[in-house]
Amino acid sequence: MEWEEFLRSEGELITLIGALGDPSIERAAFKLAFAKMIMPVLSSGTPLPKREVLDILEDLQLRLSEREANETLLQSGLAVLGDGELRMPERVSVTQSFVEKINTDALSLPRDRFLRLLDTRTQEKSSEGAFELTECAEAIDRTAKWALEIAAETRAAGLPGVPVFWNCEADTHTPFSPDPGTLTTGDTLLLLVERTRYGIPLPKLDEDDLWTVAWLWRQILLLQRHDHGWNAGAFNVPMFDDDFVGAFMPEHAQLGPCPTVDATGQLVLALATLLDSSLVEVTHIDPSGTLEQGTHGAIALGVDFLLRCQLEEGGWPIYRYENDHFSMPPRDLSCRFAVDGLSLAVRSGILGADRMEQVYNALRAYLTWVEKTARFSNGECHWVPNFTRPFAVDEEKVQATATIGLTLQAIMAALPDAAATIERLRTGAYAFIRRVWQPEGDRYARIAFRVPTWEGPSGAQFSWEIPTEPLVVSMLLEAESSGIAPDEDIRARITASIASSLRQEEHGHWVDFLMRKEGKNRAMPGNTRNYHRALLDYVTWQSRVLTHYFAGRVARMSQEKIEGSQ
Amino acid sequence: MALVSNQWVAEYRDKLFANTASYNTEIPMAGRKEPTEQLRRLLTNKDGLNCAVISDLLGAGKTFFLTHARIDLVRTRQIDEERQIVTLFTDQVGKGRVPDDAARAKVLIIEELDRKKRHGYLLGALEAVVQWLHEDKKAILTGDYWLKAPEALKVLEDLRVEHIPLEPLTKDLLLEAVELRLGHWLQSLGLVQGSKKAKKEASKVVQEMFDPKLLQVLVPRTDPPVATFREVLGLIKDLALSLPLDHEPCRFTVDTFREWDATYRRGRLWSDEQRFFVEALYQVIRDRAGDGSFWRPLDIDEWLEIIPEAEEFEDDLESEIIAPLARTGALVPMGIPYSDPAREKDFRPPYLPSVRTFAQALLS
Repeated sequence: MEWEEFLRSEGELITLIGALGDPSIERAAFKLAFAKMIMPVLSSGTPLPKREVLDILEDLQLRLSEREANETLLQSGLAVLGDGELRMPERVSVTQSFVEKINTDALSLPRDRFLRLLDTRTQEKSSEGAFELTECAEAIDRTAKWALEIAAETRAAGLPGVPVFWNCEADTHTPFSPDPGTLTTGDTLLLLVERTRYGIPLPKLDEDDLWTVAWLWRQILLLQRHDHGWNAGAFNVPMFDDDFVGAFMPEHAQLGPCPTVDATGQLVLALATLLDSSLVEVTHIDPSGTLEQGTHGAIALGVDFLLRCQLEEGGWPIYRYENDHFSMPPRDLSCRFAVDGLSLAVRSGILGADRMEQVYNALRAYLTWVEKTARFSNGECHWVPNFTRPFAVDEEKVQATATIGLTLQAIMAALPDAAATIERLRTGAYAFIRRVWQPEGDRYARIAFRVPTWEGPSGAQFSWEIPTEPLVVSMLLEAESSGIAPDEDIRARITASIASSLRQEEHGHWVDFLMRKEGKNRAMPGNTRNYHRALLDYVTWQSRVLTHYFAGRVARMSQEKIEGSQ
Repeated sequence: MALVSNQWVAEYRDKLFANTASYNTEIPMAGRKEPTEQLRRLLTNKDGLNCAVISDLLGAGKTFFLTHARIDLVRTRQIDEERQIVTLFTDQVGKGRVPDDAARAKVLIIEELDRKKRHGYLLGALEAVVQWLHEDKKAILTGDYWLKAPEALKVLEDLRVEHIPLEPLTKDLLLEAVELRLGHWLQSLGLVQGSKKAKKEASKVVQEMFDPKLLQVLVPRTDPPVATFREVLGLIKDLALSLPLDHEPCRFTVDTFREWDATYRRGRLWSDEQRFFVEALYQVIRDRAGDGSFWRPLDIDEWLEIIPEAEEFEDDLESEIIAPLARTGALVPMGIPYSDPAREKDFRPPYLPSVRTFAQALLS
């Protein structure tokens, strides 16, 4: 990141303070970076580390020489002379640092306080857990409003699906590019209706909103492929798909993009959720019942595609080629989309007996695969990305374990007879997450994969940056709903993570990580859906806690009454 | 109204000239035939080699190459990249040991073996690879010129190593890359139907897309080449900001550069001494532009020869002027990085002017 971007990302206020009275804004950038990156990790009196100073100059592409950098630190009081060399100071005079020639000793601060002043993350941590439950509810409502806004924009632009990235400027949102994403289109519908699965009523919808939702619903049905054979029933936009860059091959434009398990699973889930949401019952969105009828068929066909794509071993790749013409590895993320879609479809009551049986068998086969690939150790179990990767760091294991943990919750609802196996796996996964995971707010996992194309897996690797925090929170809380109660420590971590999620939310959306690092504020329905789900899980959990509390109180009162009457 | 108009290119500049990891795009790989074959031979055990080294400037496209070059092997099931290949970064092996889990891999790729990491870490990473390698395993090491340091080569001396040089970015290679991208996006965005037609259209467009004077400076005559895909595509992407928003056929001209330079140029904050040096360098570049010779990297005393006015800064020339200019990207250090822990963060001569410096000297 160059120095100008660094200053932008640090906020105008700090930049302004840093620039006041300073001969060069570059020096302000240097001082700020030094205060944020080096001071927190070195104690007072430690000699100035040359390498790290040069790292800042190099990373921010500053034109300062090493000598000028040292002089700047000395003049500003961010370093002091001791035993003939520059050292870290005990106190920092804020005015001296940033407004040279003003000597106001009264404004000097102890080092720790100075760092707290600058470090936004420290500030955030100081208010960990300090949020009201209503803030979660408000964020959930804002998310629905934002989803409606972008769906309406998409409709107005005449696009076949919702674009993946949205520029957020002030409070307006415009597509970064007109390229739609199939998965994103499903995410957008879920941001509107998924709440009902958690017992939260639909958002308030006026007449225009209803038109928009009806359009989105109809549009999703139109995304289903009706060609015969292997790909029948899959969902994809009919053009370049920005969720799976490369899946659309210009030379095979007539085929549209190569479909994916991920998008199809997600759209089956979105449609099944919509049917389950009471939208049809409480509004006049589908007076003739045509959409509902079409949705039954679409879900069934989508389920068939997902069943065809399951590998013999039980996992799902991003796409399975007919006759396994190309080998595609199973992916934890694809499994999550497939299992979420199938589990809800099977509970929707709209699949025939044969399909139901096929789905149950598919879920059982998946569970066997999950059990086979789990790595057990000291009462813990975890998975690595894509189940079989030879090596993964803890961060990747956390992401994979949380993702697979969420599929276990979905299977549990569909296959009650597998409860014992699932509980064993979940208890192990819970223990692993408990040991390894600490909420960090902006942590993400980079998922790199080859997109399926009509000529085999793509040449380039495509990458997603998935926020790990909300996945973990959802996994822990959904496990809790089935009886794995979080202890006090985990409860505190969950609360801290939700607090951090709330701080990152803006207008109901969350933004893309890498682009934020480049100073671009681009909202993504995909990431937003993960945070939204974690908020839904959190609100439901709190509601269970309160219900449990009051149920206990009622029981105690009844007992006292009985004892009193005796 | 042109199909590939100035406005269209300005609008789609992020896609057309994508050059960072934060923007996904399926980009065809231009050139790289011989390096691809070398990698293929390594991975299919044709030459009995067990280690490949790809050492080049940051932004030369090493990671991009590695992903693309093995796709045929993946598609034909000669390699199962999910189960057999492990990619690690220097920090993960810098303590001299490949993690136990990775022992199952058949191919180990170590990325970012470059001067940004501590020298001790880098050596530790190489030692870990040497210990890990067995008869049926392969290692691929990528990094900057640090991988050419004598200390690094010494650690690898008992391995059967092949160096895979990526061919330099030339005008032809750049045009081929832009043409492939144009063809891809013309079809992907539905502007042209059919791959042959798109290729033809792209081929026609690309010939007129760059003023030869501009193209000349985008890939300056240096030996070794200083231009990298990342830098040049990044510069073109930036220049697209200054294209006129009209429907005329897209053309990047000297004026495009001048307008961009006047609006977005960095370096206004240089010190007086640095500015003096840069202005003198611009003049030398202009003076030598007509003689057709190649620039070669210059040591500090050679810089003094071509810019005698810098004599007065002699003692501080490197620390106060050249190294800071290298940090801003005005000069590019071409030397093998220092291994001395006290100097490992210092750039090492010789230096070349960067693409942007050539462009500013010759066009602004």
